[in-house]
Amino acid sequence: MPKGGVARRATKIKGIREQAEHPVLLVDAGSTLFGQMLALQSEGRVIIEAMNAMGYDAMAVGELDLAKGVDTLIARAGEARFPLLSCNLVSAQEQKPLLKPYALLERGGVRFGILGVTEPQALDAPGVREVAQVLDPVTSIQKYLPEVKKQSDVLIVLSHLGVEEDRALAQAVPEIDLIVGGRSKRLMSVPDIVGSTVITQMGYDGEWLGRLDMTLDSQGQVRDPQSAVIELGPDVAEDAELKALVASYKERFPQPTTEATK
Amino acid sequence: MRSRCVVIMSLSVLLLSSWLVAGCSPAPSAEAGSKALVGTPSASVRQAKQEPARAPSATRYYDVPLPPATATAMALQSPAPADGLKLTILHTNDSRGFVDPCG
Repeated sequence: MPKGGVARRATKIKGIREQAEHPVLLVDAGSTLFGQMLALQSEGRVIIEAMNAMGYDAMAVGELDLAKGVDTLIARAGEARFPLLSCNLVSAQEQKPLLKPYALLERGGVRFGILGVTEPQALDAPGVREVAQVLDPVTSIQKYLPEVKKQSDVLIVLSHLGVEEDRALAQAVPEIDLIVGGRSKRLMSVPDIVGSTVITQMGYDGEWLGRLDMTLDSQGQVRDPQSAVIELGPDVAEDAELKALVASYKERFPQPTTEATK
Repeated sequence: MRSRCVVIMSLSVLLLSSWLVAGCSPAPSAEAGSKALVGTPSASVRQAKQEPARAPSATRYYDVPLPPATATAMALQSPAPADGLKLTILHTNDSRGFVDPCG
């Protein structure tokens, strides 16, 4: 049976937020804006609007987010009510970050430092290599680490490097508390632990929502991480607001039919 | 008479040159900057190049509006989190533009 869809995802997110009596963060590890037809036709606008409506807190930039080029990505970042992050995607000439390298946010008295990191393959999209460069992830994270660390209790990296690279990153930068990853498209019902760093990622194509519950001690150390795979199957009701949003985009961008493509 | 003409012309040239150097190159406006961000790839790079060198931070490189949740103005010193505080992180990745059920 078909799984996923932003309307089902929104229902689950709302439900979890309503029930939780503690801080809940919602993040994305990238390769999110482009791929499916409606997203391409709308140049990623439908995704940003959906993520705004769902209340995402931050997103990393991955390979597919650059599919329409750097300018489109920056334009979508300007429309997002959450930061699109990459600490190692920089301009080719001056090597300045093209997006925010990190974000700081406070939730329930806990200060979160969130860094984004992008894989080198992101440069393969048409026209990107001419204007952008992807720097070494470890070096880039270490560059920002002191200023992020001193302003946060929990350090999260949103990574689109892949799970093996995430493990290496955790070994190289043990100060990272949590790596929410992507690219490997792994459905991790049990998080990896490298040193004291928790590593997770949750599938692909929006078919699942990942949930990681944990406890913080007074030093901000993550204790007892528990991962859950939330399948967005037909049994999950569709949120009316998100369903209407997708429908409105479908009206604006009619999908090519089989007849039309013959 | 001829020498007075030469002096006046020289002064005019001097004044024109000063104006060109001092006043003819306006500083880039905020509007021009924001247009450059949604222009061509080279335009966005030029915009990045025009910005003065600043210490790296989460908020100062680009004019992307900050969401309310990005509390960059928060107090740098805040008490340690309460021992045993629970947290939930909801996360997605590689949604690849899918808005509808698939698979």
